[in-house]
Amino acid sequence: MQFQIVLNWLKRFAPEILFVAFAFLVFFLRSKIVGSVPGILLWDEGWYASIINEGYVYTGDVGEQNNVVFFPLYPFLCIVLKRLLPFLSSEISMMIISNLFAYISIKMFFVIVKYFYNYKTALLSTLFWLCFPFSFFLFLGFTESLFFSLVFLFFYFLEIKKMPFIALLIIVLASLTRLYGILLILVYLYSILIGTDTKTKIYGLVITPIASIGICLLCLYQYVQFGDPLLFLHNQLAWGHQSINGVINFLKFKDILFYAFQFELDRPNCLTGMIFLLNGFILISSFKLVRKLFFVFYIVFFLFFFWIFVPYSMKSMGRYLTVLFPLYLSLVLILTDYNSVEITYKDIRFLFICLILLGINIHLMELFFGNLIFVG
Amino acid sequence: MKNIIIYILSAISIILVIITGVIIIDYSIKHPYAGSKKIEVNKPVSALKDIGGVLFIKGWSSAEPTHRWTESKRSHIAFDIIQKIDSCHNYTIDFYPVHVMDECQEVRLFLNNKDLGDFRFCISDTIFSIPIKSDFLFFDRTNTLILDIPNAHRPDNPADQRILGIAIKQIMLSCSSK
Repeated sequence: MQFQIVLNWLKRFAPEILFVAFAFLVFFLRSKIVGSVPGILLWDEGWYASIINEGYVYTGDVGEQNNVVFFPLYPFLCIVLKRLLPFLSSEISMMIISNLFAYISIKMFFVIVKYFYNYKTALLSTLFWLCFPFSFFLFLGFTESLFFSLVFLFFYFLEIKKMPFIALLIIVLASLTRLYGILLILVYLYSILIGTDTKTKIYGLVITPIASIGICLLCLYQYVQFGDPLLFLHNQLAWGHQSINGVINFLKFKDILFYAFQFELDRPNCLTGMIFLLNGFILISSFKLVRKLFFVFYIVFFLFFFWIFVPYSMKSMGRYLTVLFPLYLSLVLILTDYNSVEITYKDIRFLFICLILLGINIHLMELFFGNLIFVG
Repeated sequence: MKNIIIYILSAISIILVIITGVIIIDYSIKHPYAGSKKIEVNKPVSALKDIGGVLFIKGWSSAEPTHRWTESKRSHIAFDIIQKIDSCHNYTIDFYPVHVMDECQEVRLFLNNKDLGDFRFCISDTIFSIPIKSDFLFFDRTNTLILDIPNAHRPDNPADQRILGIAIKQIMLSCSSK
């Protein structure tokens, strides 16, 4: 009886337990390798901290790296938290916001998968996602956790609550978090257009422009402040993102193959290339496996990442790819007996795969926190 | 009532999209390159630091330790001017050379599609100063300077496949008192 109560309790709080376990793992490794957890800011964390402390600063040279390429919502939330609790440092406020949204994204992912599939699929998908290489960025001072939360909230309000207006407001926030947040508009339009009710369709289409408010305000702000409405794009040149200029070069596929088959498994770039290929492969199979709306999300974001990929940016592509959540869902559906209530051989095999991936994830964390070859 | 507010918000966002679109199109016409270097009058700009190729946009080789070669028979430079000097009516574009193929090269220059004429760049010169009228310059948009070097050619070193003309270490837009 006691055991059953504990089991029920564990089942009930599974997302919370997963969040605490993985957040602790990331913090433990970071404090072990870096020293004090928020003491040293890694890669983009430093840029976000500069926005929190000094606001947007542009040197006037588009060829130099400036903080204007980073989107404002995440630093804005950190500033709000700092104002509310003035004793917090920028680094601590970044950690709090990231981890708060890491929890929200884990919870929302769990809720959405459970709603459309079942408890077991939700639990295994969430576990798989957290074990998957590069997922530790959720717990760092990056925008990943905020963006993922918004993506899952978008699906929650669009598909479960059937509230397109709220979904559009979430696109506004997502587009103020990351450039590709605006792509959710394509998923939204698909959802509206496949609907059967004409009145709902018209309503959904008429209110669509609301989604663009965020990106428009950002353009106008950068125009007024720095004279260039697309500075956040143009300054990407300094980061080596040449394809932002509009050059679509699908021959880049050979670069992905090159990265994937360097056979130096200690190199995150090689792993990123392999994950890219895995995504491409699973994308095709996922058409029949996952909900059509998830598939549309998958294909839109995958193609976008494919487009912006250049050899240089492959270095931070790993964490971009973690947003492709239909991958985890598809693999769970392929690799487990997701409909069976009992634990089967397939499930145990799947847990071993999770363990291996977790090992790779921990290795990546060591490389990243050790500030070695791994660019985040 | 709720729907009316949503429709009003939708109308506002359409206006916002139009305003932003007009600003972006206007900016893109005036600044045809993704990014352009802002230069100050009378302040030299190094040819060695141009990450992303925003100044030496086309037809230039990668920077070497002391200079940068033109790498084509036609090379482009794009720049914005930070501030107009009202008292200045005549300008010069100054090139600080390091090497010139065959000791001298004929160069024809075009500024914003206006022919500045033919010039002879020689290694013995310490500076190539090209006079330009202020009317030829844009102060609210990107300027494009084209260098046509018809006699640029490959160097004797067979390993070097570049078509080289002149190599410079810096350029400057100067206010000329003449």
